[in-house]
Amino acid sequence: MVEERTQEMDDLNKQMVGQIPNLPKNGKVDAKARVTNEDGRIIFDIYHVKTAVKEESMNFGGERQETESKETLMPDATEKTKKPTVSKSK
Amino acid sequence: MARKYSKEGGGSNMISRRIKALPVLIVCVALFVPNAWAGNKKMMAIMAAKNDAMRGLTEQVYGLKVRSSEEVKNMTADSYVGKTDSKTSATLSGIKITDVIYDSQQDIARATATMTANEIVNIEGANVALNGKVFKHVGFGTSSSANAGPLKALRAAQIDAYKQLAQQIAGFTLESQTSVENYMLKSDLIQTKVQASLALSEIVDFGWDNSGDAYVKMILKVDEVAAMLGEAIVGAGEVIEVEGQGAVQDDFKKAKAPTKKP
Repeated sequence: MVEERTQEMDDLNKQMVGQIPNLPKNGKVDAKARVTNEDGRIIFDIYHVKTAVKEESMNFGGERQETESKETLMPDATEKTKKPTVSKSK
Repeated sequence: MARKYSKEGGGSNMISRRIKALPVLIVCVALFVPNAWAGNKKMMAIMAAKNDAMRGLTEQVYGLKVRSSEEVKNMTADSYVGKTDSKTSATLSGIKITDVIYDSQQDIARATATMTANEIVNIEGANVALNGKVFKHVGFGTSSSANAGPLKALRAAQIDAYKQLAQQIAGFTLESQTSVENYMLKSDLIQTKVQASLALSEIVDFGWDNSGDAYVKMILKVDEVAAMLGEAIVGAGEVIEVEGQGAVQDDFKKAKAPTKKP
């Protein structure tokens, strides 16, 4: 039952993160949301998003380099400014 | 001297009488004390079952506060940490205990607490018109921790059901750290938190599977709750149903145990 719950939490997280616009191709995303259930639908009210983008660049030697730059899309200061996004529950 | 001898002889007689009485005393102790223990064991198990039944009834009628948090790292089940606390405290009168059964082989007692009420002030301080509704809760108890496994699993399942109801009714907070690789998501850390008050939930079914793991099916009739509270609440017409689960043993206990440094 722990494995089932772990999987449920992963599914839930992926649903939430999947609703965040402009996700980087490679990077990290920190997110916080208020999750409610209305008529069998799960509603994510995402109020905090912070992304760290891993960028690929080419140097003159022809080698690919990976650099990390941080970008904050939805900091805590703008809490509750985003409209809730909706997803259907299982 | 003769008197002295006879006196000494009387003393040795008394000692020999006492020695003779000793086996009788041992036999008496051997016969009666285990019966006394058995009676005590039964009474303690029944008392525990009655208390469990009354606690369940209080949680049902008056309500309870639930606070829960879960955390999982890197999607590994052995990193999962889930903790749910429940709390209730009330003075209820008119509780009747019926159907008290004791299984001496398993040392487990069962008792049913029943209550009929017209009105109550619940955990949130709201006046609730119960209109003579009959509430019932079945409780279990044992006198020894060796037999408590299935009962603990049942309580865990009950608390899990409360947590699920709280999550569905009040919602919960989800916090996460996720890696993105070529647009593929990988959950690094997921945390959920919920805190809510619950009342008037009903257990409609419970039991154990072959391994001893327990389940509790719990419902909350939204319309009934709204009518009792005398105010409209979200989810009209809905019956929220959840199934809580409780394990008889922790498979990850060994994995979670801290390793000693050499």
